[in-house]
Amino acid sequence: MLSLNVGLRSYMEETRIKVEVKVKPGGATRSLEVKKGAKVKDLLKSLGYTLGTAVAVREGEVLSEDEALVDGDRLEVYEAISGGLGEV
Amino acid sequence: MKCSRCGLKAVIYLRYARLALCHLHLEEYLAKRVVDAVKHGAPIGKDQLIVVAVSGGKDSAAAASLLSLVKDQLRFKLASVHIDLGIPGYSEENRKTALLLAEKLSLPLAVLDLKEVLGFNVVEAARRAKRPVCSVCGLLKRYLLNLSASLTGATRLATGHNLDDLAAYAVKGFLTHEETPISKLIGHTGTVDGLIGRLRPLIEVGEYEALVYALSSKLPFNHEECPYVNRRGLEFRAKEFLALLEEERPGFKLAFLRGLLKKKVEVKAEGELRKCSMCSMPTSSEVCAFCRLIYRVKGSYDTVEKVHKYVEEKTRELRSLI
Repeated sequence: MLSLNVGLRSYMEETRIKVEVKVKPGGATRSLEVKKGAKVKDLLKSLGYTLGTAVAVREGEVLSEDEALVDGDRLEVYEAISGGLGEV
Repeated sequence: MKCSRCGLKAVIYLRYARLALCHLHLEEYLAKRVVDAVKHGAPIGKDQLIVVAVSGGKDSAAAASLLSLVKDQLRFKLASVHIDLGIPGYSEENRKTALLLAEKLSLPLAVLDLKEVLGFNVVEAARRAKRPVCSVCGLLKRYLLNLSASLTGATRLATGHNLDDLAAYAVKGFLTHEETPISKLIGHTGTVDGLIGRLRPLIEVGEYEALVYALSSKLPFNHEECPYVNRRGLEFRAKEFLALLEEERPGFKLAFLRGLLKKKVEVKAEGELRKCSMCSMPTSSEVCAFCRLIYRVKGSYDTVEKVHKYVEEKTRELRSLI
């Protein structure tokens, strides 16, 4: 049983990567584990965003939704939907 | 993902157009949309002036940048106006980013500071008027932007309203049985009796595209939200609903808006336009909504003249920079 648990943990470690995101507006930060090979769109989906409503940025560089995530990524996620319409 | 046009690294995938674009080709793509928006409707003559309202947010930053990019091609002049609403913890950053944006784009800018004119901010104005902050904010911005564009000699007042704003506005209008909002969606309208015609350069540019463009262009903008924004408001919910439809049916929002604009919607006149007996600006009533608000918050109409003198001074400075 012990060896099965160790094996499972090691498998999980090999197949999961850690990503930290800071959401704007608000600046809330979250640490997440996603599948190795996951793309930006997978991350945004797991954060609850509809496609085309949030943008991920790595070190000031805008990432397209098909960009692969890497272990230890620290990303900023900008929400596109803004509130009031002001004076239309 | 590589740019469909040049093979460089893409910053965006436009699902509805099946296009992946790098920053430069996104800019080119959006600039074409803006050129179409400027050309659509009432024509803008050679060397005429467009004043763009810059709030400090991503949309007006993108609108100002794209207008700046096409101004030589379309031979118009461009200047900008920012209104400092004095909202603590929010307006300072907006003012700072508006100044940085004007510097980056080499764009003449006038900053109108509400506290300098009224002696207090928009929140206090709303408290004194016993009205919601957003309602007073909208009224003040509408009036001051129109007045400053008019005094600067502009033929159009451009705002950062994008495709999502306008589609959500239309949905809200439908849900609340208001017919007039749809008539307001026209890309731009002509100037009538001191009422400067509106130009919405981002009418066919989505909020997501504007955000990616602002980020990849490294435009200065404030992405924090106004503390008075209502995320449970109908506009916000309409945007979420439209985003879900767009995800399932790429191109839906654009088709929806284009369909609306093709419709011959009769604009219901709210009453014949005449001059306000206090400020001489166009209104459908004896005294305009701005002057009535000033009376409620200041107890007299004296401040109206002070506001006009202040805006005249600021726009004189702006004109000297154009």
